[in-house]
Amino acid sequence: MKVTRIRQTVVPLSILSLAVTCFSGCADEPEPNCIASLSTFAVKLIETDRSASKKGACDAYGPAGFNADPEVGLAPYYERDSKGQPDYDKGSLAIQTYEVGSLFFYAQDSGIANSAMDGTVYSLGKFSSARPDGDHFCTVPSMSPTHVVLAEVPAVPDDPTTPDDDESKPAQPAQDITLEWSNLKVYVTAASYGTQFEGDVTDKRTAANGQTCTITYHALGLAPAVPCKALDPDGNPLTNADGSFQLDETACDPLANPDLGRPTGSGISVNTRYECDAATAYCTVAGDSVPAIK
Amino acid sequence: MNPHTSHHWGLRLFAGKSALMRGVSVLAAFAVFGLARAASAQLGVGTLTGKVSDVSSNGSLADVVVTATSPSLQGEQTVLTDKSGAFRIPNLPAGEYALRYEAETFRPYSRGAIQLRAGSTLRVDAELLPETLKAEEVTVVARAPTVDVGSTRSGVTLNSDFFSRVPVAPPTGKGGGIRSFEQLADVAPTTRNDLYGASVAGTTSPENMYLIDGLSVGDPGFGYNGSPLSIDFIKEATIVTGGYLPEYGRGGGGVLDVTTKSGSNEFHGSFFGSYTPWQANPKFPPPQDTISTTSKLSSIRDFGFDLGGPIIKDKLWFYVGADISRTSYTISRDLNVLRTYGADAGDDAGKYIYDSNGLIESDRIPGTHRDDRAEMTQFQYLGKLTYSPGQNDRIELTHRGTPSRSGGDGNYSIDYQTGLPEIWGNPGRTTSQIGAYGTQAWRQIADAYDTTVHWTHSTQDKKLSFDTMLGWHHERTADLAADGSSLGGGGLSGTPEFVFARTSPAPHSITEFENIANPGQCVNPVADGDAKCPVAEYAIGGPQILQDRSFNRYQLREVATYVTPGLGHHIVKAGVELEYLGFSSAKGYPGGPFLEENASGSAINDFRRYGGLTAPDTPYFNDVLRYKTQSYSFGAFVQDSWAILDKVTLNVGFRYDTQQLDSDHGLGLSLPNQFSPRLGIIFDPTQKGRAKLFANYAIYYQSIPLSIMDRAGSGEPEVRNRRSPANCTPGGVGYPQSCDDPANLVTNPNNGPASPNQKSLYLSVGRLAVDPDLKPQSSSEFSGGGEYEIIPNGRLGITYIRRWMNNIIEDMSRDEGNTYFLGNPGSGIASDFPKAERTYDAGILAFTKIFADNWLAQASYTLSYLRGNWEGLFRSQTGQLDPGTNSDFDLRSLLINRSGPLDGDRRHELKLYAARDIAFTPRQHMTAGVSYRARSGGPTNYLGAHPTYGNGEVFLLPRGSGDRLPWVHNIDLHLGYTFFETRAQTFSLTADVFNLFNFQAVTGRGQSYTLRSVDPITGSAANNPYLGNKKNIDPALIRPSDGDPRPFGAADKNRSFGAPNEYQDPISIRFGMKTTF
Repeated sequence: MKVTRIRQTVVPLSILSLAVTCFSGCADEPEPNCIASLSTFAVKLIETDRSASKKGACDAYGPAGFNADPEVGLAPYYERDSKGQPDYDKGSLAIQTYEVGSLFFYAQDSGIANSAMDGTVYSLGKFSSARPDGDHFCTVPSMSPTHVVLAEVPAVPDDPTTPDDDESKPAQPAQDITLEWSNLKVYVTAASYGTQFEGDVTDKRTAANGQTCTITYHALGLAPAVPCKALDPDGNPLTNADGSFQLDETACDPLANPDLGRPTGSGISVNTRYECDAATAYCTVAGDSVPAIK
Repeated sequence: MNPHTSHHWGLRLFAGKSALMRGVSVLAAFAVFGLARAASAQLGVGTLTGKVSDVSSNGSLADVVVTATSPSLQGEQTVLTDKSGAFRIPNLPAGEYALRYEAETFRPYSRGAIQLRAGSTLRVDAELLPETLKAEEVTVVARAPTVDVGSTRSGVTLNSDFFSRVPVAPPTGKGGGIRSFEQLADVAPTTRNDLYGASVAGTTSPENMYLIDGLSVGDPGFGYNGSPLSIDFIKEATIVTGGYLPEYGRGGGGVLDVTTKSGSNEFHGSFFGSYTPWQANPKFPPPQDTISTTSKLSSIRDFGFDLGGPIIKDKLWFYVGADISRTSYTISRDLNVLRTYGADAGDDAGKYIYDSNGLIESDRIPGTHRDDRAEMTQFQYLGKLTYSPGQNDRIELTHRGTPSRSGGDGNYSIDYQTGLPEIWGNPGRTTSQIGAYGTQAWRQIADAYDTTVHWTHSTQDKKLSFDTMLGWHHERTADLAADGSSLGGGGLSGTPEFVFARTSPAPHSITEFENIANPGQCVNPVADGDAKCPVAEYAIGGPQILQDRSFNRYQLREVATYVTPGLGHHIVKAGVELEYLGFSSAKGYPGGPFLEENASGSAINDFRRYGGLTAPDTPYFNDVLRYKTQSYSFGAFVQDSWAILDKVTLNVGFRYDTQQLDSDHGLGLSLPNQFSPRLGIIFDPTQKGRAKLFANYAIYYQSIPLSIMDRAGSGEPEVRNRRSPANCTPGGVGYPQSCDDPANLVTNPNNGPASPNQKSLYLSVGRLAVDPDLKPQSSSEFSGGGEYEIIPNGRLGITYIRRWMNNIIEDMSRDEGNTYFLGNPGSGIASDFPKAERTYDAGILAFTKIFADNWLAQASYTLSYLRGNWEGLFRSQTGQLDPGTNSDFDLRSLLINRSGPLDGDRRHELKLYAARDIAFTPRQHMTAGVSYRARSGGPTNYLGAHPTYGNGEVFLLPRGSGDRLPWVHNIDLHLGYTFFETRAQTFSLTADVFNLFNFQAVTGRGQSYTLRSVDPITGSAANNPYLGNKKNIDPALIRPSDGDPRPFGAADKNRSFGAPNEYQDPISIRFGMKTTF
């Protein structure tokens, strides 16, 4: 018996299986969709313009009312797709400030509704794209205006028949506030997932006498909103001689430090360049533009 | 008794009677020279190889005709030896072989009883006597092959010789009902049964690769074994625990590789059945709530048959088999009154009475006992055709199915993932029966169907062979409402579940929901005393989450093997593999929301509800969330097993894998460029196959199960609303529609004044972000050791293994839970996270004697260390099976104190198996088999609560600081009696007793030191934080983190810390019967 020459009578599927499409290195990880953080943002306002309808009309206004509670909420929304799930390619964004919101809800609790016909307590607009652009920004080019017109809320006196409970509520003066947001863009990467934004906001206040004050700000936001007031052992904020709050930048630290009484980090993303903003005593982005990344 | 081992050929000894040759012995050298494991080992084939030489001149003989025959082989296989006298016959189905060597001018020589195992290469050398040499008496001294001198692979291979004699496959646990093959893994050193199967070398069971006849049958979504298959249908099971060559890819754990039986040239079959009538009462910790549940195995019965034979002799064989099994558990429910001190007890008046373990004492309320059943019916069938058109080709077509049904019709179900009843009664597993049947029970479906076509083709001289496998694995698993309604439909599937869960000022009392004979006993006579009949949770309405999932895996694999000389011999293998996984999932909460009363009883929240918001406070709901995910994988490998100058073997291999996962919405995850090298070296100092020294290094990549895409890709967005109890309580006006009436929704306190949404909470919005530099999950392994054949058929080995993780994929948050992303802890955008670590070091001493001379033995002792901060694809503390997205690495603040001995760390493990056959008469014999498994106890921890993540999430002291659990001993016994009508026709009866002495060792203890939120103790204080004894940490060292200024005191310590809450499975007994023909 002699061994015959190798003769392949059948070409196995090995050749077919070699015609394989390229897998290696063909695809990078997917880009995130346009989104904003669900936590509230601490916003730093930089005034860029001020105009009064009449001299002195802006004397009573400025960022102080906002800075007392400098929080802004950004809420993402998505259209519903044919399967009943959110279509993350078709998003929109609402923005609402703490200042306007708390005025609105205080009035609502007393039965006073917003009588503005051309705005609501929030501004709403669509993302212009499904995914961030080349600079990792998701832009909301135009938004509906925020407009609240609230009648004065009268003060509520304490009920003398209940000496242990204080039912008194302070009065709230009438309000007519319009906010118009523009050039709003949110920074979205896997490492900073919608946690920084910047935009321009025009804040118009109309006084009872019809005079208006319009101030335009450039707003820079950082989520989550973390206060950085220095506190005494009882948890009360410490103030300076001039009434301003003492600051404690360690409250912004993303890293936990149980030995220093911080069991968890602040929640601010580790790669953020932050600072404890003197005007608001909240942790905001350092500098005057977004992204503020190390 | 294996019906396929009847022998029709025997050992033909070469014997002459010439006095001249008295004293001449021909030693047939049986060096087992196991070479590189054949990829076609996955089909159950092996290789016979060897060298033929002239005994008179010691020269090698070319052109010797070598013929292999076996009852497992269709026809016969013939080759010629080459110039160096070497021959090789690959692709032989496992079984018992005879080789015949014939050459002109030489006496023919035969050797039989060669046990060829799947995946092994046996070297059967022969020395031929020239015809001219007169042999008076020739003695053949034969030694059966034992030491596999060509492979660095570690593990065990078991066939029915072993599992028909030794007690295996205890009735409880995953696959217990049908004695599934995955239970055999416990025999191998370094393996340990875990909740979802068997964990190998410190890994977790979903990381294993499960192969049946070459097809990967792991569940494509979660990784555990998706096709249970009874050991009655299995010819051989190989459990590979490490050191394997690149033809096995994509698994980070071990490999369970089984081959099913085949037909033969004669009709053989069997009928078999088994019956497990009894298990002793398992131990449960005393009830701490009014409702308590215990469960106990009631019976398991199964009956089956198999049949194989020829359709065309030597060309076409068939094999079929089927088995039906039914498993029943008894679920017992009682109502209890918790004991409290009377009014005269001073400070303790009205408070709970605690026992020495810190658990509340209680009394059963008579007349409230109720027994229900948990039932599962499993059916298995398989069919196989084996066709050999000629000597050079073999085609095998197989189809298997394992449909199972459980629950419904008033019964509870048995969980197909764990093998335990869905109501188990142990804390940390499922809850007890806290509501009516419809709220607590599911009807479960778990079906798996496998189809494979496998074709091996070799050239005439057997030097080149091709192995092609095309297979399809299909699964459907569903957890549906117990009334038979379908997901998204009416009935219980359309009824929301409502859970009463108030804790303050006091929990609800059972008397609010159920009638008991004497409700006064539930009233504490002391005002403001502890609740005597508290119900922490009570459910009304429909069941919890319903799911229906289907999975498909399509696999195509092509491997070529080429044998060539070259400074010795090379066996070169190259292969490609394509795999597609599909996962189609539907899930939802019946009737819309899953409603839960909040802690103070002031509001009813949506506990879970799929849906979204399109605009502020404008919700829509998804009663059923449907999502499809896919994975495409490509793998290629090359390996060479080089017998250098036939003295030392070098195994070198290299594998490349890439995996892409995507979903309905486009690409989800890309995991390319998985390069894994494998390198091994083997040296036989005896050069006769009696010993070996080896070392091996390998990198393994883990194929990511699809559930990561399903959860992370869909995001599982939810909308949660809130309303007052007046508008949303079962029995209330307009319930349940009133719960969704927008007029009834109240402001959610989580929404502050800055939130555009006031009423609705929108959660899990957006898909999980992915680190752009994500690296695939992989681990590395180094092993080394030696083996020596110390007695005939018995070998002793010592091995060292070290396995460590390179990268893992997990979801993490860099901002304390506000947003999450998928990344590698310790690198990329997660470089500020601690690196994920899991390191396993083990030294193993093992002795194996195969079944010969009527006895077998297998013994191993393992000394091991398992340390790290990551367990694997599931968390043993909670049983959470979410590969890649479980809560281990979620928050940086959770990671303090997390490194230490992991849950699976068992310092010492001893496994002993032995069996002996005793023949009373030539036609009756008895078998006695015993197994003894002992393990030292696992580590325990001191846990506290985290401010946002809840109980048990903070490691107060470094992981493993607690006392070890005690040793657990298992002694099992097997007794069998067999009557032989003929060699092939037998009847046998068996009895297996598991946990013969009913040891009920403690296997778990309460580890929550406090339910209050606390900081981890770090620094030097953690070295000696105790006050008095180890059960007590100095309260001055514990800092609360819940914002409450009250310092940590004795009242904050959890009384039941350290109380036993889990025990070893009790004694059970199984009877078996088998008739073969």
